[in-house]
Amino acid sequence: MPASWTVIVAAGLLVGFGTRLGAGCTSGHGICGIARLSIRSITATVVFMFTAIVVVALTHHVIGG
Amino acid sequence: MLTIAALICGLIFGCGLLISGMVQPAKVLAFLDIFGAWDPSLAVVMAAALAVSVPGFILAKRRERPFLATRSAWPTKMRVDRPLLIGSALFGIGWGLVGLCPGPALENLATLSPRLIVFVVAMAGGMMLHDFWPKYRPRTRHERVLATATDG
Repeated sequence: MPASWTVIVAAGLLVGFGTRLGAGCTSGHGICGIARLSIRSITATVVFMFTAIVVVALTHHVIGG
Repeated sequence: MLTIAALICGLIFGCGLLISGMVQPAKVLAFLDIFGAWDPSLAVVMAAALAVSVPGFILAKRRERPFLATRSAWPTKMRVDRPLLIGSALFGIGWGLVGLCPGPALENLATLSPRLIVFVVAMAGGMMLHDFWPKYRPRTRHERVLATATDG
């Protein structure tokens, strides 16, 4: 877990709001949705994997270095 | 009976998350760190989960109704729309910041770590924020039921 409380709260808000708006998370879209071959879930999984990878790349290698 | 089934399913799901390492934020972040010290092992977890869930869903779809309910509740939305894209993008940002998605976050509450508790409270806050957002606010009882049902 990151040291900053601000980051923890911000991440929690994003995960809560995002999973509600996007109607699913890693389990919902990533496993159940893909297992049903749902186009919506496959798209959602690609989108959240992409943004998560970008965020990790930025925080680990650009900002945090 | 339905409650017992839910308990057993939750227990199996929780064990899966625990044994596979999905509950460890550091491991999740290492999986997402493809430009650094990449740990691809969680991809195997996803592949293994799909190897079980694909035949499971095929079997479930063949049935007229579930074992323990009067009718199935399959997701009805088919079109990729803006809320799906924006919501997934926001979720990905939060997931990448901390390495926790909803299931593992709830399971990690058992550690009673203050950081985890704050994260889960913020997550619940984000969900409530969505539900009280005027544009998405469910107006009828039917809409409220739909709002709690996700695609997955």
